[in-house]
Amino acid sequence: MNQKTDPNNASTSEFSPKFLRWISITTLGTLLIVLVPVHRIYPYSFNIFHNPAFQAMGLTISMGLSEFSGHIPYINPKELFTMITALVILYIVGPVLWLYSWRVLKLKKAAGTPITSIARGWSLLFIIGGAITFRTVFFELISTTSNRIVSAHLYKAQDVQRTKDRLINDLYQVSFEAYDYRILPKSLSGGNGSYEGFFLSPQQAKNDNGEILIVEARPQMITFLAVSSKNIVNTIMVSVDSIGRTSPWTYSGDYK
Amino acid sequence: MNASLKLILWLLAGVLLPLAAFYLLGSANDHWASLNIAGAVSLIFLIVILGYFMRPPFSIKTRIITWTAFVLVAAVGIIGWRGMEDLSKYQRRTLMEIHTMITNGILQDELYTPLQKTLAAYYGQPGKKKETLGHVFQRLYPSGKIGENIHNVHQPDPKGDDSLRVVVTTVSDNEIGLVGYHYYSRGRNKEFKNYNGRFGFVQAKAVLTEKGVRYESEN
Repeated sequence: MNQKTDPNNASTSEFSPKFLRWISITTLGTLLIVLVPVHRIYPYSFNIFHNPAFQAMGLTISMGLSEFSGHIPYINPKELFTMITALVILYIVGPVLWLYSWRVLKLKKAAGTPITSIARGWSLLFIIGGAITFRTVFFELISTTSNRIVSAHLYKAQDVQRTKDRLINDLYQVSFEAYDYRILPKSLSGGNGSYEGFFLSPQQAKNDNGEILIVEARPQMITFLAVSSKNIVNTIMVSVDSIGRTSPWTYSGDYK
Repeated sequence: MNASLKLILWLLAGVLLPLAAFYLLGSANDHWASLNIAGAVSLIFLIVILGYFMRPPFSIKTRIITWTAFVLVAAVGIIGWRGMEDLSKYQRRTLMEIHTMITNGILQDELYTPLQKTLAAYYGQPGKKKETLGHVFQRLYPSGKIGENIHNVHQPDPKGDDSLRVVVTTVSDNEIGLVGYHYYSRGRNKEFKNYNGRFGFVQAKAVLTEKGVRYESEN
């Protein structure tokens, strides 16, 4: 079977001068976008294609770090503008271009309109809009999934760390009180130079964070063991010497 | 009206509505509130354009597939969006909680250490005639006058941004009082008035008597 060529349709051939011009312009445009250091002119330019919620997340954490260092958190208006621009490009411009050009093309096809340069323009918008929309959808799915996984790990890890920090604070408190006891004379219910006889009040021995036990009380040293209320494998052990110094802390379980 | 003009009008409406919601209805201090409002407006706009654009000649099948995909992606998007907001706010809160916890630990140490040093020196005096608690404290801490800061006086922070203060509140024969506070580490109660007149920051006090140290975390 011989293929027939339509001389009237030669301009739509993939190697037509029009096509070559179009592909050259697109390539040059892409190179220009990649090579020109736009981010030096506007540092947030790359964020225009980042999920706005992701940008807001970064901003919130940087504000937290700023507060941590004692600075007043500051929101840069440029960052806000980039965030809203990203929202508009990714969630409005992309879908509107895609859906609208799809509709126009569909209407033209239904009406049997021949392919003209105008229709090719709509096809280009359909591709650009579709690319933005599908890219947004793809990253939305990826970021939601990764966010769920990261959150679960982070909440668990920080819960462990929080209990650990609280138990350390509790241990510091009882260590200071034990040393107080060691200094005081017997007449004032003290140990008169010894940790022997020191005991913890019920509130100190057990609270929401965990339980504190006296492992050993000798004249020169006392040793405490704190056990987490959430997981008994997580423990902290510390000793206080004769001048009130706490020894290196020993951790077990998730506290290691 | 031709198709290009219609597209420009749709784009214009789609750009202006979230922008207006973001800047006019949002909060200047809470970027999440602004973004959430703009996001909600964008979602409503997307529903409108989807309903308007996906009319015939699109087949019922295409419309059902498009709407189903939209609902699924929107649901995942909302879950992800909310997750990012919750996670970042949690991180920010946790950072300040960590700061408060560190500050409380430092304050405990900074208040107990000089007082226990004084107590140990007081009971460690030989013979029957003893110096009072006040005298022992002032011998050990010559700069420890009422109202004076005794934190880091010998090793001041070279940058000058030490944000912790330990101030002597009482010096008498039988009692030494100290109060320690932080300049920006937040305490439990926002209304609490700190020693320096500010509100809501970490503060603790400790009182030394012959019976030992009484420590209290005030905020």
